[in-house]
Amino acid sequence: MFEGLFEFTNEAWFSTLIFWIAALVVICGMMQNLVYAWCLPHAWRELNKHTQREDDHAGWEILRSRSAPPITIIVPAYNEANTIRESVMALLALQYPDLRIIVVNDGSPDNTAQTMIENFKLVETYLVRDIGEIKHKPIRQIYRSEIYPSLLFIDKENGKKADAINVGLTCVRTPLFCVIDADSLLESTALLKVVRPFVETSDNVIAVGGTVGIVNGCTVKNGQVIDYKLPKNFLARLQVVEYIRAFLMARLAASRKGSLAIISGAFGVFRRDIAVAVGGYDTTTVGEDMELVLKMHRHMLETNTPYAVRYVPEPVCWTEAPEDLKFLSNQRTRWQRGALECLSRHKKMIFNRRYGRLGMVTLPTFILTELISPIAEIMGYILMIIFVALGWLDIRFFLAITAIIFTYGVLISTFSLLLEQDEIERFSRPRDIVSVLLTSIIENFGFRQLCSIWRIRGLFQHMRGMKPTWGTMERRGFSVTPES
Amino acid sequence: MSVLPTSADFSFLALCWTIAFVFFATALLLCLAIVIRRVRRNRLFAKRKIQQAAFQNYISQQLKQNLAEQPTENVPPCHIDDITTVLLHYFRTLKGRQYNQLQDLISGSKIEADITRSSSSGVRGARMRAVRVLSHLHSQTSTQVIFDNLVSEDKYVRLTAAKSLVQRGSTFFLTDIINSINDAFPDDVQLLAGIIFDFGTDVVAPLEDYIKTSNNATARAACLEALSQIMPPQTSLNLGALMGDPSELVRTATLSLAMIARSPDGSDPLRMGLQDKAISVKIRAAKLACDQRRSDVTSELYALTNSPEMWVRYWALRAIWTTGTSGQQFVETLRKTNPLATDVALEMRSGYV
Repeated sequence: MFEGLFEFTNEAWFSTLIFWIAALVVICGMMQNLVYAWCLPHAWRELNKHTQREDDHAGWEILRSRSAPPITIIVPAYNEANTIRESVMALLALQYPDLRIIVVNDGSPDNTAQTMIENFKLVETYLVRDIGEIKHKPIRQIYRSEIYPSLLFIDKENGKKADAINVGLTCVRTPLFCVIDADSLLESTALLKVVRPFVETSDNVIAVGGTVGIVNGCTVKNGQVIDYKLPKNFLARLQVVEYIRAFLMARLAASRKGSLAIISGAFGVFRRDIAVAVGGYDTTTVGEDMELVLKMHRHMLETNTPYAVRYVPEPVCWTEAPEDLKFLSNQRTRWQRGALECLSRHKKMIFNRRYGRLGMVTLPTFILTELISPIAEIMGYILMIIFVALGWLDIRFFLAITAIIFTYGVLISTFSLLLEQDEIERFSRPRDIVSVLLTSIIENFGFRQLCSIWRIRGLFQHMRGMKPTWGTMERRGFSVTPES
Repeated sequence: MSVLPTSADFSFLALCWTIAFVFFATALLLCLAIVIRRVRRNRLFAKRKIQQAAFQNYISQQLKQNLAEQPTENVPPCHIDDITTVLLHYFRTLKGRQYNQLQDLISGSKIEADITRSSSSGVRGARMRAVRVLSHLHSQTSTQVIFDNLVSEDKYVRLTAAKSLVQRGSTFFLTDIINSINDAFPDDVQLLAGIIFDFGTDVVAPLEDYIKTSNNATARAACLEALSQIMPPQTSLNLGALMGDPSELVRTATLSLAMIARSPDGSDPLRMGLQDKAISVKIRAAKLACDQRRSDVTSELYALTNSPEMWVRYWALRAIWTTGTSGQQFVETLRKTNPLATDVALEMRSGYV
């Protein structure tokens, strides 16, 4: 009955078609790693500009001088009653000459507000705010602390994270502000490190990002990471490798090329005047961090003002990584949605010469790696398996292609670790290094593909137009010291 | 069904596998290299730690000896970076006789020669530490080495050298310090002002001379800021004329000095600042009026309450409020016409500073 139906499979053009589909899979599978390969020499050069550890002394010279600009830290909080006290205490202990802290409670249904009021002796106050073009949900009450004059607490109605940051932004009176997650830990010298690009160059720096490290497994005392260890949880360990590659290679290289488009929502320092001029954070996207950076880039490029967005390679902020597939998949899907929302809002910039390297290289690369690559990779794997099953493709060919993709991924991961060991040296135990190296090999077999599936899920959610929410995650807390 | 498998060309397959093998082998070799290097570095760190402890022990033994005794020549081997770390620790913690004894021990010795060498090469942090140690020594060579580092290509080494010269009280190098730091950090007024301030009252006259003769706005502003921090009771500078300087930075810094020192020309820089065309100068003047609670400049402050710039209006209203009950009543009357007046009144009553 089906005799003659697949006659065309004997044709030469069909073999060529199958070959090219397979070739496309190879290229798409390697796309992100090809981008990393391009990033590697740039990141290396940037890191080698100065030895990181030795460079700390320069930071201390700034601290001892009077030139450190005042900074306000904005901490948006939602349902953080259990951790908010420790987080704020750690912030108050940061080493910086002129530091103000604004905690914004985004209408948490738990006792976040009560905890703050009781622990920091807060009293009601009033504050003249520079609202500019920023719109936000109503404020219930502003409080100041009787024991810590630099601490301000704002209780507002629920409006999600970006709205909470915007409220904080209207209360900032310093030229620079820093946004961190309430569940993030800052290195005691974090602000000193990130403020240096603003102080020491004449490049009109408008924003600085820093490396975010994974705190799972580390020993934390008094809000400070005192001993860096690898997480025991394998999923968290996979993310350690991923973070090294993303932060140390991609962002550092982008910073060197002047086209850094993402500053992590967990930690970033911005010029207040520029952030207010672009209307603050966008409350209608889950990618509010990337959206703000893109808006700032766009504002500066459209007004023809020379500027720079810089990146600090040393770990300045620590965050807890999800140790559960469900939470990790939700996080990654949310990130993907955020990135796609930003790309669609700023599509005018893509392949537009007016926006320089950002428009001509960074954003198109983003589309390639975030949008096309995951779809093509997963589709490619499915097609190739079907082709092999139907006998249209030689299984030896399939295995050879897969081997190239995977070994190339391993090579790139190894290079990123070499970069880390050359300058940052977070891992001092050979055992940890071996473990990270093994993880970087294993992650290519399953985890990377899983990430691509989550990205595709994020794409579907973006197309369905889901509303932004506060990201939820089951937290173990920082005060837990791992058993030795 | 006549489906035939697409037969892969053997040479192409071989090429693919060779590439994959090369990638994997390179990755494995790199892994091995990383681990070996880590182990070697850890051993080196451990060895250096032991040597550092031995050097520290040597120094503490030398400090226990009598002044008359000759120092032992056989200094235990130690990396120069660790030597500077140990010496810096001692210099920062010792006082009196033992401090002088350590100075004598190191000055002119082979250790000083090694530190001098390390101050001009190597990584930034090591050079900065070396310069810092040299600042504690009393030899003529050390002064020259620190001075040479004022023109270092590394701006932070320059900064350390400048601070070291200030620590030694070398006022002779004032102009060189100003030029060096201004060249390294051309926009940073406060940094330079902070360095000069540490000289204290010895440099008031040279600073005034520099302000009168220099054309560099940032450096002059830094000198004015430094003077305002040194707080001389009076100045030979014509502050009224300085308030007419084309640079905003200079005018703003002049305001700070005017709050501290009397000017021979009898001008009122604060009043001039409130009438200035630059927003930054107006804000600084209003802030200073706020601190000084000057009621005689209310008319100038009132004029500023209609400024298009929000923070000028804000500081003007605050300054009026701080003059006393009459000022507070005045702000209350403005509430109908000036919406910011309501906010300022509420803020001042709530105790927010």
